[in-house]
Amino acid sequence: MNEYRLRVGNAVIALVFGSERDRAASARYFSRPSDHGPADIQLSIRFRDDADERMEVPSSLFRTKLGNAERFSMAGGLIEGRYSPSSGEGELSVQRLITEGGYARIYEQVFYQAYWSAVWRKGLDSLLLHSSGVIHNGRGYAFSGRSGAGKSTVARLSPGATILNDEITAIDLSEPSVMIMDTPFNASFRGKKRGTAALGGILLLKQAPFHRLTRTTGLEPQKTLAREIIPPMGLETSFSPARFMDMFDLSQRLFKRIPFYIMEFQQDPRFWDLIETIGG
Amino acid sequence: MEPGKNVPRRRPHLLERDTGEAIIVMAETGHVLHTLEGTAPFIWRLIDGSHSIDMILDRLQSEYAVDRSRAADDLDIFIQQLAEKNMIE
Repeated sequence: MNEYRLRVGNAVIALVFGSERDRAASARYFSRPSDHGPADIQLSIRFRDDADERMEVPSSLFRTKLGNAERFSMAGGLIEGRYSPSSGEGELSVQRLITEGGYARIYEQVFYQAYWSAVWRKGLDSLLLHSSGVIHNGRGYAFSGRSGAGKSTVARLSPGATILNDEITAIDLSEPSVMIMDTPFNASFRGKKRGTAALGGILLLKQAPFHRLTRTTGLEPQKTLAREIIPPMGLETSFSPARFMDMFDLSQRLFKRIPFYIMEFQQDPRFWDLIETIGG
Repeated sequence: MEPGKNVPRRRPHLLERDTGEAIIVMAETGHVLHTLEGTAPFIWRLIDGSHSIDMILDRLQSEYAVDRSRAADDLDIFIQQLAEKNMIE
């Protein structure tokens, strides 16, 4: 069986391909071997090569998702599939076009949804956060912000630290400690490593001509972080604006347990001197 | 809100979260989170289709011991803002 097991944080998604070539390509793309843990859900993936070259690829698979668990489509039919939450099994039919080049990061959004399906099936209390995750001196930090805020820059300016990812990290909210974990998703930083650590702080990034770390409270940082939580939407779920309120709820839960900071920083690693002063 | 009736109500299908210090409101059709703080949550809870503007003003004056004339101006502005954001009818 041409199976590749993809570990995302504390969930494992088994991907079953029609060919060894496709299995190997996935392993190369995610830059890690197949995981040895038991799969939480299984997806059979078949690729199609009959896309109209004029077809536009939207930036969001979440917003373009139609249908339900029995039959759904995303991105105007570029991805079609079905998923059974009771069995944890599903099928995807994917236009190969969306897996190539710059579109690959859009294709990854299918696996964000698969992650949520796996989390719910396994009964985990976790989420995915649009953030750079770094373990420094045994403690984890999530650097969050919009594209261009500096997530990859922070990763690059962290010599000696373990970079879990510079785009998406997994966060486990189970007691007793909130943990940050690696994910296999790709952005510009290719040195990501496996790892997990207790989360010491969430830092909302802002580029500046100086370094400053400001502990922040109140609603605005919670709303800012909410926008960076990957919508809790499994393969079996359709899109609705209510997902945004779910994201706010998750942000609030994080806020109650983990200190939030505004990190203003310039392009050198001395911001770590400030972060090391964070207690806990 | 019906012209002349002056009894506002929250639009249906709004999603809300009461955080204790504020109320977060989101319209079903969008993803903008509106934050209601200060006296706004108190007023928002009275916008239920059974309190007229005058009744809300009475309650405001009683709860916060404010000058009625000023409270009326502030309430009028707040109601207008809610209407512009399509949060009330």
